[in-house]
Amino acid sequence: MIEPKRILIVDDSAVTRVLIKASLLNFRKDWVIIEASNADEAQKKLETNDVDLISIDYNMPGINGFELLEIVQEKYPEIKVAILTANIQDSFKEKVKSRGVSFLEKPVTDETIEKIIEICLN
Amino acid sequence: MFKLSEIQEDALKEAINISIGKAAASLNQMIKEEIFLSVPRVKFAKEKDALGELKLGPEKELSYVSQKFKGTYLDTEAMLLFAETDSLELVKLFLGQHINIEEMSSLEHEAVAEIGNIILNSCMASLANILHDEISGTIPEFVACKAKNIFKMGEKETVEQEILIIFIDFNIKTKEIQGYVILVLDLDSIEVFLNRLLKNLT
Repeated sequence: MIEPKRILIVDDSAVTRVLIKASLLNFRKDWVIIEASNADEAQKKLETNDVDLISIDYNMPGINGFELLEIVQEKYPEIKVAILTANIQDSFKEKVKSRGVSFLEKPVTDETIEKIIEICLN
Repeated sequence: MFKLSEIQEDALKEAINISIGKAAASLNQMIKEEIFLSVPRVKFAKEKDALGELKLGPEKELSYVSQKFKGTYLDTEAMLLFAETDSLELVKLFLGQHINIEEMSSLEHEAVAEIGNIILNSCMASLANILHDEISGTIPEFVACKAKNIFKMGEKETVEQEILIIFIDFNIKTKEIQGYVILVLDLDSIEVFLNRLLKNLT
């Protein structure tokens, strides 16, 4: 049996957090979803929670998603990361991929959720 | 007064068509409804005179999401605009299957802002890809106001300034929802933008 995974969603949009959480729990009822609305809150959640995967939006007030990605990779190299963003510029995709993490495009669809699950399980 | 040559206007409309097509595809993914797009309309106008282009009564209640984007070749304000009643319908399509009515009501403005974020970023990122540019965008801002106040949010001198405005109408026929994407370009940076566009498209 697969152990329930713990996922941290970092997005300043409450709507996106609600959508990801509802969709993920629809696929995996026993998984634990933790939410943060910015990078500072995400870092606090990481200090107090075990997390298997972190999904990070790019365009957030304060520290942006790419800067948070660098912090996470430095401090928590064991955590899997996916960047989930509406910023679909080729140059940004390349920057994200150069860090060895997955790039997922908004809007959030069932395929996005399946991809998050796949990244988490592999 | 700045005037576009035929080839500049053609390149601009082609680039916007490609970019807005990508944005429409994103909206289609969100709401699972077919989106119909108009041909982009390009207009030089003072901000205060731009409202006439939207064919909306000045007292009409509107919701819009605004974001500024800036790169080496591009400096623009992008807006996604709806009649207030249409924006609520759109939110229902976007969130309907995931959350209940009470929750939807409390998240309505956030939902419109996120729809705007996805559509405007999709459009502007496609444009940046055509330009081979790297742009950064501000956080989306949600505004509810009467139509007559849309272009009066800035300072008085800005309202008097002439700008290049690109209007794209889109509608979701089955739901009778109509919206607009509006791009406002500053004339100071337009030559650089158009030269780069022509270089990359021709």
